[in-house]
Amino acid sequence: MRTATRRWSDAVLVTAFATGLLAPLVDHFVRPASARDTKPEMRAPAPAPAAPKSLDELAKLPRKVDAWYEDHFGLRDVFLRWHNAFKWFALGTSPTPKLVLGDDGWVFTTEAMALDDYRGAVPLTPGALEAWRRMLEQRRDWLASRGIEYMFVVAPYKTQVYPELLEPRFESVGPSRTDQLARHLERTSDFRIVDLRAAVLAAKEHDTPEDPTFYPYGTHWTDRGAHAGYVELVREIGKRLPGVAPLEDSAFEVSSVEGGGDSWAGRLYLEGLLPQPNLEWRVREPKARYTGNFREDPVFVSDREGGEGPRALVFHDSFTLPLRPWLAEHFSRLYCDWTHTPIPERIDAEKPDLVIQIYNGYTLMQLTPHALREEDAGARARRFGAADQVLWRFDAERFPDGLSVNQGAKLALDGGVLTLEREAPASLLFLPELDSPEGADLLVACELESSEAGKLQVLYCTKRLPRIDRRQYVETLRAAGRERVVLEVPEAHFVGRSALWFGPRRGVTKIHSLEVRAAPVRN
Amino acid sequence: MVFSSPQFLFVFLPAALLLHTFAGRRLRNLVLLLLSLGFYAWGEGGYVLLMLASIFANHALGLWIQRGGGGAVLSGAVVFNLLLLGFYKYAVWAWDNALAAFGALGAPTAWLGVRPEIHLPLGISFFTFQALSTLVDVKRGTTRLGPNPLDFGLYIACFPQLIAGPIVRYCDVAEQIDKRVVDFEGFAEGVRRFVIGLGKKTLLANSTALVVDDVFALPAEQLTAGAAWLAVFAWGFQAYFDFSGYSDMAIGLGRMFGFRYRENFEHPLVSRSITEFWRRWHISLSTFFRDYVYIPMGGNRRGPLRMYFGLVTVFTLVGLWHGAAWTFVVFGLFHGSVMILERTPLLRWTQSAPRLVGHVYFFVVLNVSWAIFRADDLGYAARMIETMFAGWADPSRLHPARLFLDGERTWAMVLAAVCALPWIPWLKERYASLPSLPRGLEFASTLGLVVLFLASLLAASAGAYDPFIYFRF
Repeated sequence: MRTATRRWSDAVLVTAFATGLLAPLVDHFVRPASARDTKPEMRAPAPAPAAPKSLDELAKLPRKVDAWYEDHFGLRDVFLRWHNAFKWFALGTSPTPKLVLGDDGWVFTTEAMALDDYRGAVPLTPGALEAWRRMLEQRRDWLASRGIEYMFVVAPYKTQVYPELLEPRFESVGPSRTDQLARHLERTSDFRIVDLRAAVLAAKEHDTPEDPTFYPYGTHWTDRGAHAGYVELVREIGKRLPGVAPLEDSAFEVSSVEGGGDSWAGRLYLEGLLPQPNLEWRVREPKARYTGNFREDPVFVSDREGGEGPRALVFHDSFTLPLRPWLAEHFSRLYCDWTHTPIPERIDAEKPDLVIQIYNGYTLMQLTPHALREEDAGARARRFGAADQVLWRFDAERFPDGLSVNQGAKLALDGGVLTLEREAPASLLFLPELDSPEGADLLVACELESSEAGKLQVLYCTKRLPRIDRRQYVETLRAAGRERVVLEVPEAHFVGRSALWFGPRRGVTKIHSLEVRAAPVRN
Repeated sequence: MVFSSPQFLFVFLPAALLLHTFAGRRLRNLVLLLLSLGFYAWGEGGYVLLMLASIFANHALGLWIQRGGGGAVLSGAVVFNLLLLGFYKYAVWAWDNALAAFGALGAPTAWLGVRPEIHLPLGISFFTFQALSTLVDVKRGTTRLGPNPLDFGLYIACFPQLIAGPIVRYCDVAEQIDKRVVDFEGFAEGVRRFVIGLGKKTLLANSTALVVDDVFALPAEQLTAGAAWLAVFAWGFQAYFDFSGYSDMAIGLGRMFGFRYRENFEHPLVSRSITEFWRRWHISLSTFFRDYVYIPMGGNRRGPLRMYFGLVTVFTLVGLWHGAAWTFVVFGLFHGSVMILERTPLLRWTQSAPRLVGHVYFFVVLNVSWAIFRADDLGYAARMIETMFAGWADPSRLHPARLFLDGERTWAMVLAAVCALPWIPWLKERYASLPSLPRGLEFASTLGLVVLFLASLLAASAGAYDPFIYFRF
């Protein structure tokens, strides 16, 4: 028999249940969609699906509606804020797998296998180290033949600077890839990478709670940390370009800025709950002129009053953004491009005195060394021609088994040519599973034809990284029209399927030939 | 559309409850059937036609059998259903195995043609087994099929149990389809059960899955003993709370719409033998195989050898039912073999051993089998099992168990261990003599459920939460 208590309990429970189910629906019609979509997450929300015009579109409609709804349902932002706050403050856990939480709420990135690099859990193989050495020397020599100096600079990431704030479970078990590469170069080459770590660690000695070297709730260095890196970088530049010296500290104006800086608070829907200091460093009397937002724009170009002095071209990642206006003070012209792959045409156009590649340390987990075509002077193509172990080849006679595409791309064989039509920027062409030998380099040759220049990446899986997730690839740039390119994957034992990515541009790419060969690792 | 998704919770479920409520007694079955077909079509598109074809064909075959169709009709119907299941679930696997076998023998393989691309329609194992059980029951005379195909359609397609069970018997719900009572008390009972299931899924299964996914993503040679044990242990929790959570939600939803489904799990992780485990785990599946395969094969009645053969056969099929892969076959064979050993002096002692010994024995055997079940292939499973037992001698610092445990995961593992224990039966037994729960306990449990529901909604909302590092990329 139901008691009065039970009846009341049932009523409370059912009311709470109905409220929980219907409240999002009410909110959906009360607040504007923009109040709860994905903007804080720094990604575009899935668009509202259009009415289907064909059976195929009708079949895809539920997925599109689901994606749209998951980015727009009522109270989404409120639920996420409560959810993330509970994880952060009650469980002491990061609400996103892209971060881990350390002591005092400091966050550390897990992106691009940064923690694995810090732990030394996925070291470079001997073959990969040699490939790095070869590429750096080739690049230096190729630039030197044009009268250009070359620097490869590694900036430290937060985990390397504040390891004491990381959970003890992330124990280091070996050297990072930067350390590995530096030691390998010391033994085998006269080329040296520039490591900014010591300078930033020295700056950390002067940390105060109001002025740390890295943002507590972000993953990047503060302006003071970046300044320490800048000073060391410019000293190194001075060794190559006499007369260049870092600006005095007094040349900078430091001011406290409300908000800004690098923080994950917004992306975690924890705005207002994770305040952090932000001191901006600006050159008091800048001589360099530039336009745009130097902290966000992918390309930064500056000219200095008078037009005298050296010219520089910098390929970099996000760590270099705050340095760009400071570096601009030292060059008559500075061109900075936020990219991992140097662009030969840009080098020819800028005619710089110095080319710098500057990346943070865990970028070495992503970058597979791959010389530009101009740098290797046809060596890769000759090596491909000499390699006699063919792992897979596209046969123009019939549609190849195991070749497939994703994200709505279309692939057809027409007159012995594969025609790939891509709708989505991220769509891939998957190769069949390869029986690749251990201890060999893999050479992928393809003859492509497209109306626009673009990229070509080979994304591959290994035992260490058995998934395709854009963290393991080699890349080259390809010209418009028809051309043959050869990519080299150093000492990679492919596991599972690998894939080709043709860059973000949609459209048609014709594949006249495609072949994968293995060659013994070079010593 | 899974039950823990925002679109189910905030759109489909409220709409379904309202429409069902306002449809009245005459239309409610039709409304529920249409909702169920829509629910299925939303996820599976045109394959809803396949399910409809199965419904109409099986209903017609059932009526034929009921009107005196002989054993041949039943045999034909069974073959029809198994072919349907075999084609969609096992054809690609069979093709892969044929290619590998002929290739290994050096025989020509060109005749196999191109690898078929066959989509596995969601829930096909469940609706095929439900249809099969009905046809056999009709032949046995233990149930009578009504003339209205819509009623049979609702039995097969009813969305709470359509895609992940439990496997419902027609005899259990036939009367409820016709005359079921939807009252506030039953609705509240359904809400309680649904909330418990939602919590199991979103809070425990999804959090323990983080541990499982991370460890099983490691290359086999980088596994450590601690990590391997942690992973299989966590997988046991994930599998249990995921599947039993889904069953709870199905039972709860069924109750909200006036149906009473049988229990599907009874705290299987506290078993003391594999035999006991299968009396407590996915009960609707194990009883299906018991009633429709094991007993017709002779069961326990025709001597030990026949019984052993029956057990191995049944559990190989149970394994295969979980998916088209050799890991599942070996998992089934392993369980069947252990169940045979538990009937011989070799392991019979575990039944009379102290409870703790029984639990330890069961814990080890079950976790070994979980490694087989969860691994992508048998090679990985073998390496993992080897590491679990032989990996302690060389404890690597590369991937120790603690590397995979943060605050959330640790709490989830602890809570999962606590929630796997049979607290509710224990409480029911303790308060069995009382006419009702003490008032404080009643309110506390309700408050707990409200908090659990809110926490589950928050976790469900975070399902699509995916902040980017940089907007432009």
